[in-house]
Amino acid sequence: MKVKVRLHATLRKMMPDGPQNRLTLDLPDTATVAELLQALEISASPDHVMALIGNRRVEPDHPLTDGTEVQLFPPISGG
Amino acid sequence: MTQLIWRANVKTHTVTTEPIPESWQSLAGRALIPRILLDEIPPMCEPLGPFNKLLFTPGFLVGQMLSSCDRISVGGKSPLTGGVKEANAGGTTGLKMVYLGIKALIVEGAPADDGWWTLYLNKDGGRFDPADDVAGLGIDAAGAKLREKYGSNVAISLIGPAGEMLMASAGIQNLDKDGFPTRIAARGGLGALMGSKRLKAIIFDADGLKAPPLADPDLYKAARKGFMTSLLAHPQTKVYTDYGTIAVAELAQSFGAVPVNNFSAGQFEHLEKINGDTLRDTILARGGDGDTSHACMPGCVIRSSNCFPNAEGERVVSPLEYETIGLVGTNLGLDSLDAIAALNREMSDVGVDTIEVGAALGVAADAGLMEFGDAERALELVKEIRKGTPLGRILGQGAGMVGKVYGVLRVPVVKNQAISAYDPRALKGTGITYATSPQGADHTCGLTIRAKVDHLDPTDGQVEASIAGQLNTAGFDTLGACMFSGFGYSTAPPDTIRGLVKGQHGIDLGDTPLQTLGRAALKLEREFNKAAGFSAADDRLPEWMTLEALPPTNAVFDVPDEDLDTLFDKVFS
Repeated sequence: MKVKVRLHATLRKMMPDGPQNRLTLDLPDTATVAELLQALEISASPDHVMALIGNRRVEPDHPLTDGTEVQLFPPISGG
Repeated sequence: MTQLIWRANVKTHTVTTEPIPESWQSLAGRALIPRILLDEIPPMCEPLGPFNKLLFTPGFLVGQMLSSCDRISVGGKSPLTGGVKEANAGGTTGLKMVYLGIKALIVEGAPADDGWWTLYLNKDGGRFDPADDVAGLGIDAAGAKLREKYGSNVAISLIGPAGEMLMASAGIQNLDKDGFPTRIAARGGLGALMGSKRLKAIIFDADGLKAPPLADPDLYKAARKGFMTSLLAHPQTKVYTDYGTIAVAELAQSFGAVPVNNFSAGQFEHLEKINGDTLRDTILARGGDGDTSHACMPGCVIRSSNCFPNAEGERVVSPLEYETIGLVGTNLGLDSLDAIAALNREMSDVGVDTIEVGAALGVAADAGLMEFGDAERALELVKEIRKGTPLGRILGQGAGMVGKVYGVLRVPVVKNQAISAYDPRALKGTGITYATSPQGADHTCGLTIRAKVDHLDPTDGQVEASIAGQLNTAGFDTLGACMFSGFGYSTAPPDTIRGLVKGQHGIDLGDTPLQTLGRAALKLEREFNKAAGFSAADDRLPEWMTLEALPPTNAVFDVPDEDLDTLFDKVFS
């Protein structure tokens, strides 16, 4: 399945092909958020990343579906 | 220098010192403010009258140039809320106060005449100097003139024209580490309280003085090492160094919690034009005076502040923060960083809280005084504040006043203080903080955006998230620690904060120092507010937020009243 990813702030420069905000990944149909993070080589520790789908945060074991957009944030706690 | 209480009387123009009362010794910063207010002012007094007092007190950890821990707490009875007020800021004021041996500065009395004065403090005591030559000047010009007169090595706290005109949105600015008057104790109208004492500025001259000796240097240094190691290693430190507070904009957008067009929507269509990536890229591309990683206090390694330049690379404003981009940008329908920076600059120079005046302009737009998205008109309105026109004075009194005068019900305030850039309908834990905090609506009193809860579900741990946030932030404010220092403290060895305070002062705060200090602060603040006439009716969000659905989540604020009314029973039990 194809999963859209939007990367924010410091995460965008961690991509292998240089800074990117948006990319689409091919993942197995059973993939979870944790496997998406693994594919991007981003630590799943909550100290390193927060994942959102729609208006809600999701945990690493959250299953993904085809066409979903996942937003990934580095640790941010307000201003 | 022995730490003492310094008292400045604006009627007699005398400055005296006295020992620290026993019941004040285990308090500092935010927690000391309500203690002094309860001991020394009638809670029902007029905030701008002779009985209110303006307080400056550094937190426990201030004075050692420990990263991110040199903040100054300013307080008094708030001209905006009528309740207890603590507003804190970075810069150099706290550091110099500790060098001078000032545990707390109490400015009291009613001015004897209509002149303006500068209070000058140094190791020999204090004096009042005439300041009519700087009265009426904006913050930048006044700051430069005062530095010319008193030297570039002093700390200065000063007010702008808004404070002189007793506007309830006026703050008190402090010099940053580079000598620019940019660090504002913004919230609650303390600039008006200072104006009511006819003080344009306070000079803290610590020439020849240094930090007082540590009570236990070995203990302090071990705790400092643990803190610094953790702070430098924490991934959040890097995010704030590179992006500053604006990094949170897209997260707030994803939760549907960005203030848009006077809090009528939770997502802003053009956020990418003004978000963290764009701000950072713009500053880097323009170069010159621009800086993406600026320290507001000497020794801070997080450096979450910034300096925004114009297209020519010349300094426009510092800092440009998420809350300003929210209230002055998205909340007014503005999608240009240059326009927001220009408004920020004008607000800072006239000496007002950008959150309060941004919210006031949003209400003004609903009243038909400007169109959302019209930056030119917004700037015209802000300039009315400096001119002191009737309209400017209404705007300068804050969002609540604009709503009352123009008959607008959609007014985003709690205890008459504006809600900041996180809509509480989509972040319900933060809404609980806004409703119940003795300070009025203030995200720095317990933002829950990172809590592991469903922010739209009123029953999913929102009260617990708010309590944790309120205790921690009240604790940090009592330490004089920037809330971002929490990146380090949260992962440092146990007893790090305990070791720092004991090593610096010889005071043992026990196993849970942050919560102990936070609880003490909140208890005293609640006690003061109750004595000032506050009740459960004041611990509520505005009614329209419980009725008007927020697109796109269509959330209303639906946390049960009982949860708000019993929150502090849980905090104090």
